[in-house]
Amino acid sequence: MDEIITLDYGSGGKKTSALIDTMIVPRMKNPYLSALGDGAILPGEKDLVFSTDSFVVDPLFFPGGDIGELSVCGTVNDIAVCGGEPKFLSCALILEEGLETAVLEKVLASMSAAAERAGVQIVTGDTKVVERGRGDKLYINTSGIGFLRFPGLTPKAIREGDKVILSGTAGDHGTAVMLARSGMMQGELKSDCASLNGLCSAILQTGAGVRVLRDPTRGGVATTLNEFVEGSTLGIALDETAIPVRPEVEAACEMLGLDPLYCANEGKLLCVVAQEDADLVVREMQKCSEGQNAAVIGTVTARYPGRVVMKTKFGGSRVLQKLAGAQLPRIC
Amino acid sequence: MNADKLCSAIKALPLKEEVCLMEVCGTHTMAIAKSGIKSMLPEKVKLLSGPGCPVCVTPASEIDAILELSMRPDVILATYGDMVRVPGSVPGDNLARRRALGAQVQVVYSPVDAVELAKQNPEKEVVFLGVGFETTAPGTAAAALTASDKGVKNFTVFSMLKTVEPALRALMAMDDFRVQGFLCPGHVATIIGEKGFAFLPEKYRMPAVIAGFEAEDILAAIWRLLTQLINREPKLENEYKRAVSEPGNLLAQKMMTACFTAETTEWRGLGSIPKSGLKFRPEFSALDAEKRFPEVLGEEARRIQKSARITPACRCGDVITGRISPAQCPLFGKRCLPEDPVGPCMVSSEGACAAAYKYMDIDSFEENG
Amino acid sequence: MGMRRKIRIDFIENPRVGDYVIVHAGFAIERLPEKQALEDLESWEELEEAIYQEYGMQAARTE
Repeated sequence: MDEIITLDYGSGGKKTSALIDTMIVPRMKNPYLSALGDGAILPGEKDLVFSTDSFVVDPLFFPGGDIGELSVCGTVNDIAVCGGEPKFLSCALILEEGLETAVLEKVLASMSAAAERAGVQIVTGDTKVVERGRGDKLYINTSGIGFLRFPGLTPKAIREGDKVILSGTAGDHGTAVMLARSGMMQGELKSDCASLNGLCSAILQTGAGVRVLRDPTRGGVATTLNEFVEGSTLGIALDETAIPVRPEVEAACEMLGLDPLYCANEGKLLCVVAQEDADLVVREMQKCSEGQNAAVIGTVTARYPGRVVMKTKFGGSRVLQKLAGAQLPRIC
Repeated sequence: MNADKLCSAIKALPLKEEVCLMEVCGTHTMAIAKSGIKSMLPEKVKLLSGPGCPVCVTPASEIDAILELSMRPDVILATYGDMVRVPGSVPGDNLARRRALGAQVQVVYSPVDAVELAKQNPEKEVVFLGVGFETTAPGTAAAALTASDKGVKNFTVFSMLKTVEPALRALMAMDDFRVQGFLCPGHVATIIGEKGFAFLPEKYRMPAVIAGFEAEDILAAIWRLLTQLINREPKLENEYKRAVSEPGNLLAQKMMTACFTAETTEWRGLGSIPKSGLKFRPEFSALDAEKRFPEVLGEEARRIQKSARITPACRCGDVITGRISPAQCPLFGKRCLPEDPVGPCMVSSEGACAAAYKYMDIDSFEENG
Repeated sequence: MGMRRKIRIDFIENPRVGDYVIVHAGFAIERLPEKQALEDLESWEELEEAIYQEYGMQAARTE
């Protein structure tokens, strides 16, 4: 392999084969990929969960993770929160001419490690190279497929009195990326990037009345909760004092002019569950390493139809709207 | 804890009529919204949001000029994040949109970053959008001087910096201005000192309290304002003593006087206010973007653009002064929306209109179930 | 909190290592008193006294 990826690697010829044979196949280590057909033939069952996601994060490497780990966890989580057991992923790479091969090595190593941790296999993929200036170093798309184990999870199942549970601290990932991007500040802050299929499984196997699960990625906890009740006759009442936020995230957000409730999370989930089962679910979540800080943060109410309203730590009230565009750091 | 006590103290005050107080600081607006203080105050106490967000009071004509400048391939605009979504006079046209069309727009946290950007891009002209009040003005000037000292020739500042006092005077000169007390911006006060706000009680018999940014600071300031009103003893009090002294920050004041003069400038929603805008003194022309790009940023150029495009129905001026409520503005919720705002009250994510829009249909807040 | 960043101290007279400052847009705009005194105990006591005196509020004296 050369030191940098050139346009040749995307041509489908010898160099492409070299890339696949020396860098991709040995890492992903499974017979479905090694067969190298156009598509992967997989053993199947009746209902499948299928998801896709593209990853364009900048910078590629940030405290607590990188684009590779994200690309696996993101798709695994999307399947898991639908009640699916994620099994197989595809991986499409779009590389910019001039990308250092060593960088690609690191990213692939992260993907492989993340896949192993999540118990999934990357079984098919594609690689393209675009001219310098036509792609921002590296874009990844992963699609994933899994078997539906727990049907019926949907925001429509939410009922008055249900409890809202957050699996851990809010805003870690978004803040870590903003810090890394600003380049000027360092700290102990890390992305929370993690696969949640184990945690989802633990929650759903309790037999509790789980209405819906979702991972609050772009737009953060506030946006996802709004999605749950948009257009509904029900709303959500949150308690600010119950929402776990790391002090370093709080501090960084204050400096950057961000709000942790609107920062992305890549290793957390929101769970709406029947009132009587809330304590049981929280206890089960806390047994998992990804759910150590799980807590009930609010209640579903008929009082604010379609809205999310939070009681602040001072006892006041504040409406949390959906994030309109990207969160911009504020000066004033 | 302290917030509870202060709320009780406020609720216990013998208020006979409705009282109208105003804050004039974007950070106060945000802090109040974040802590939910308004929902904790008694019905009779109205807290209005004045023109305290320097980004939001940037007039549409200046934004239009900036947008035009942004399209030049040899120019990189360095700006604070919240400027990126402020619209010009054409709906939806802002720096975010121009960036999508190819403009080079870089969000920075400090003017010092903008100088760094200029150093790293010697073949481009870096223009820093200098927005802010007295808190930000000294730093903006200092950064510009650094560029000059270090021989960074491709760096200029478009100064849209403003001072607070003239705006307060202009508000108080309006008919039916019904505000009875001001929460004074804590960080502006850090720079201009207690003395900078003494004119309020001395010349206008207006109660004034300098407030910090924690919920307790703001509630304490409100309690003090209400008490002054009840006792009919308007004075200037300082509830941010840990950061604000009587004279203020002399080094910072010197920097401002050395670099800037105070000119008449336009405030979005309020019109022209004399001596309210800080512009570079002639000896600093080399740092002044208006001199470097007169055909776009010069006053003449902007005046010509301005007359063509005004939205006459915008009633921000009346909303800011508390004369009408947001709902009474004909544009509210129709032509003027949070995602497509016209005036500063809606541009600011916590401005009077943006806040009212968010809280539409929500009645009183009681203890959450 | 372990956050580190470069700021300008042009406006702080006789800056010393260990000083606490307020930072705005990359510039320190004022020095703050000792961290302890961020509580500004004196100021709170004065306020509580004022509240008590004005309206004889027992609630202000619970500590």
